[in-house]
Amino acid sequence: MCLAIPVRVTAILEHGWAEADIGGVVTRVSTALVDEPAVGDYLIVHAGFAITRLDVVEAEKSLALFAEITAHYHRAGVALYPRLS
Amino acid sequence: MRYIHGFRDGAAAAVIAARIAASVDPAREYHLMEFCGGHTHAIFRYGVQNLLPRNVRLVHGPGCPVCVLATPRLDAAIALAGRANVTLLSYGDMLRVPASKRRSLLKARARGADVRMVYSALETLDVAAANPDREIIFFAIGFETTTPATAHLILEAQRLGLKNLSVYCNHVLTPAAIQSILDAPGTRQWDNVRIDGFIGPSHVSAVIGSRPYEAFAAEHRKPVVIAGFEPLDVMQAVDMLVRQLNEGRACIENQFTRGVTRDGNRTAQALMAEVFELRPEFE
Repeated sequence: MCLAIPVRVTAILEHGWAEADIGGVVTRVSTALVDEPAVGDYLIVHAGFAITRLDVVEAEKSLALFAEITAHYHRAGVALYPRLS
Repeated sequence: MRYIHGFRDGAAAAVIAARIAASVDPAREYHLMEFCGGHTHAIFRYGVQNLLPRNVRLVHGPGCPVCVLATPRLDAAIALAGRANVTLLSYGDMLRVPASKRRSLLKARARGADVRMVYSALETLDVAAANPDREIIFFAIGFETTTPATAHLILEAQRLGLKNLSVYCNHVLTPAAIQSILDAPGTRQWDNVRIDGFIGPSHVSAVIGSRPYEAFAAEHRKPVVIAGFEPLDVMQAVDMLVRQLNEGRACIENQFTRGVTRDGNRTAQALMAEVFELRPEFE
């Protein structure tokens, strides 16, 4: 129920709407709950409403952390489960 | 998309699993409850439990207000839908939920009631405008993820001067629901259900922020980590909870930093405060 998905804004429309790209599908989302959305922004959309912005800086920090610990474990040669080729 | 698939990387999941395995105390058990069915879904879909040490157990929580909506409310919605000249709209997952006497909104529709599924609450506006001679009712359900949408719908209906649109409001508050579970007889003593920490829902927290959880972490002395719904989010949240428990801490931590802040979405909160009133009990 409360599952939202990240989308990228492709155009700002009138009356609090935006056109957004959801993994290749383009749809219309309401931006009534976010302040001043811009083209290129990432939004988190639930049931047709952007409930917040996706903070790209924080998302990249999380992904960088995952990449860093993965590289560290591979360098250390730790046997992992599940085994990955 | 990078911000979906990046959080499903198998190599990183294996590494986080190894980190968790290395940090657990084999002499103790870790029972972690996820409140939200979205996390349960991710745990089963990606086999997260199988990546965890045997003494880290995920306890599946209550799920969402769609599943736990009081039956009389659903019965009332079915009765409304059965009235002449009424069109009732709600979210898709609500239509299948069983009411009393094995009824459901889908079955009511099969019997001729005008029940329609919407993805967005705002679709109700178009239906109301296109059918000025019918009474259009939006069966509004959900936590604070859907409540601001209903608030916006009501203001838009007012702005457009739609006279044939009403809302049957069944919204509930997340902190109140969590408190109610924790205060339930049997849970309070932590005997029947052993829970050491909680995985908190991220998307509702994007609206309400992490602050509402602070009181209950302090009161119940259980750590809470607000986590996203992708498998790496859940794995990282388990890692953070295990570390808190090992260190004897009971704090609110936020794993979903890409969408949740301490204050949440103030615009959405202001909209809810403008349109809705709080009542002390749901039923």
